[in-house]
Amino acid sequence: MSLKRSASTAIAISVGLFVLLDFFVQNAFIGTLKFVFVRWAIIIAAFAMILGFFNVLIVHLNKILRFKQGWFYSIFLILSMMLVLFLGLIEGPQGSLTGRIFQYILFPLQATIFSLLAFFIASAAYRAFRLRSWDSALLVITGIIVLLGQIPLWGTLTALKEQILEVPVMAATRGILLGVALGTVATGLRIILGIDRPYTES
Amino acid sequence: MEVIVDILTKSGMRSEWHACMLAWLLFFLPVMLFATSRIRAGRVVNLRPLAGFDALRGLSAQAAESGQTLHISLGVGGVSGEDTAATLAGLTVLDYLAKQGATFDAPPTVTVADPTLLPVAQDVLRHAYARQGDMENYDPKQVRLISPEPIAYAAGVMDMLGHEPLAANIMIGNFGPEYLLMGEVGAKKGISQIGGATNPQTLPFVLASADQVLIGEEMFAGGAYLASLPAHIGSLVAQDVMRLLGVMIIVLLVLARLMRLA
Repeated sequence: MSLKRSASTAIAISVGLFVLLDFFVQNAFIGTLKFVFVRWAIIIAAFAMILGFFNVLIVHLNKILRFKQGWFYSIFLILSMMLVLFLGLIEGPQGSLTGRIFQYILFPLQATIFSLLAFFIASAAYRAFRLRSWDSALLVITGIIVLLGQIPLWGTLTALKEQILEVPVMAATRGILLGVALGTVATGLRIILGIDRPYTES
Repeated sequence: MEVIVDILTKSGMRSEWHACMLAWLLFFLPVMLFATSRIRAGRVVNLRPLAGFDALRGLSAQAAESGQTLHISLGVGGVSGEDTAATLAGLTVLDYLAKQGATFDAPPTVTVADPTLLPVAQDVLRHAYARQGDMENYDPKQVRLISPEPIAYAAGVMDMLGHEPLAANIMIGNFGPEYLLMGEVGAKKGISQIGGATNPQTLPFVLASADQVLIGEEMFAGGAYLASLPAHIGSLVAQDVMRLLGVMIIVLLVLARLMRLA
């Protein structure tokens, strides 16, 4: 194992252990140390944003220079990115112009794209509800009961819907969450013990 | 277990719950290490087939044959939050597909939403090419940051799925409802899709749009299924033991409550 690899592994393991220890134990020294580590992590993450900026710039410049499909839109992307960056550097992130760009351009655009979700849910439901097997038949019947149970006309159906959501759906969700929690613990332990090293050369 | 919790609570734990969690962790660790050591010593563990991981095998070869590329989405999470484990599960799949891609000269296109994930994903791809001794063909632009905003990220990926020639779309990581925006574009275009998510609210969207699905904890089994890593197989064994223990505790507590009520 090279010195560089050993050093990075040792640093990662000790920092990970300190942060984990702070989660369990109330100790002023460990708490201060954890606070320092978290601040360092925030600073490093900020540098990652700069890397991200250059990645976007290079990918789209490459698209423009090679006249790849949609290169014309890449010009707008780079111009918009530069404009927002320029305004942000001049008037700061709380500036009125930067704020207006976010409030009147970015947020409405995001809301527009998100609203497409309703139509996408309908088309996905159409595909999922096709009767192909006993499983899909069960899915269709349950789906119909839950859908009709939303209407406050038939008390029995509403009660049945509540029963479906509170018992089998809740049981399945808790089962999935329990499994995910165990998987997360295993992944975390492997990293803290240095068995998995996504932060160093393997 | 109760004795351990009592000792831990008295030794400066934040609360009894924290002591319980630490006791759980301290029990998990030796089980995992013991299982790993047994597997390293040659003990064979039968893993149940997972269609999601089976489908990943041979995808890079298919992509190379068709002259198309694979798209791998690592989700909207990064490597510095609560969703890190799901992102790392995606990186394990990327590691496998990057190695395959380097072998078949069919590099995957990787998209990320969190800037902290960008250098990590580029590093995984670089290692795959370095192992192959083919650094001339490594292109860091194969990993693209789309946007830190989940909806903007979905819009960028939707455009990619709609216009670029893709052999398959693999989306494994942390996703919210934006998953469906991307998954539906892929499904409508008839691209072979493999999806995985840990969020129970996202899973119906994954099931509705992907051909093969990795549900919840299945996502974390990538290292065991794709690379047969002893530590990862040992983790699966430990997870099963702890799950069994958890179920037994739940059943016993329910019985105790019922008996008290009776």
